[in-house]
Amino acid sequence: MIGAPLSSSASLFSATSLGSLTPRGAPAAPIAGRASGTGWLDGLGAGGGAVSLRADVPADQRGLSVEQHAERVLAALIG
Amino acid sequence: MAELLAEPRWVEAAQALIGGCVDLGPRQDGAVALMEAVCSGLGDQLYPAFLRVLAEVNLRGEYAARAAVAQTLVQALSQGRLPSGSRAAWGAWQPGAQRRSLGPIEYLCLAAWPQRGQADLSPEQFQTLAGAVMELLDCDAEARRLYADHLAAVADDPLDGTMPREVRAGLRALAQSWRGQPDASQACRAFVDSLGAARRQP
Repeated sequence: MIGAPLSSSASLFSATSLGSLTPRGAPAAPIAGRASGTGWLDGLGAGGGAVSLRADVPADQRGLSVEQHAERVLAALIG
Repeated sequence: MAELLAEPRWVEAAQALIGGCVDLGPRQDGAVALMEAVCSGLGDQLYPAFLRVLAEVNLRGEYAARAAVAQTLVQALSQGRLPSGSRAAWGAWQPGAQRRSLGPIEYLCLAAWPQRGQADLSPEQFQTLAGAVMELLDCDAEARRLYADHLAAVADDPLDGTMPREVRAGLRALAQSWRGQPDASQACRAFVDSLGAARRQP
């Protein structure tokens, strides 16, 4: 079920199968297709390592506190 | 206790970490505190999720984005505030046994050591993840030098009985390789080879 939390007792290092590190700019191996379950490493490197993350800070996120920035990171990871 | 989403939004988390480091200032206490707050919010059980976010930053970030996070890590390291997770110490199987706090790379090294027959990370997984974190640090020459020195110190610490001999030897090999040249893949291979050689010894 999408969005449902995993058991915190389960190891985060479980049930994954990965290839070696994809060089920057090289086509990525279809890691997600080889991975089993919902291991936390699933999909790492998928998309060919295309650059999509910028150093820009949107206007509405400038001047936030440490706690507010941390909440934005954590909201994408934990429920 | 925090629980990982079934489908964590890794890229969104990585962008938020980058934005926070840039906004708070990569070499400022605030950015270091941000990493501490993220790791604290995740807790020890989910600390590997922080490492996955660092790997996403490296794999998908433009240079300025990667450099902002790398500079925050070097600031944290220089202040002795490296974002860390804890693992059970060597030989400690029982609940409540001694735990050891470890920075990103040494945490992954210990996870790659087959403590009870099978390691938490396969050699390939170790090379993928540790390589990504080390490549991120390679964005900043000072970060690589400082972290390599830190790893060598961890490997050679005579008072620390929580790190098995095989991992110490591997860490030493990794640190020496990485200090010599900014080639994360080669340094990771040095660690894996060292661990393999130790296992083949009678």
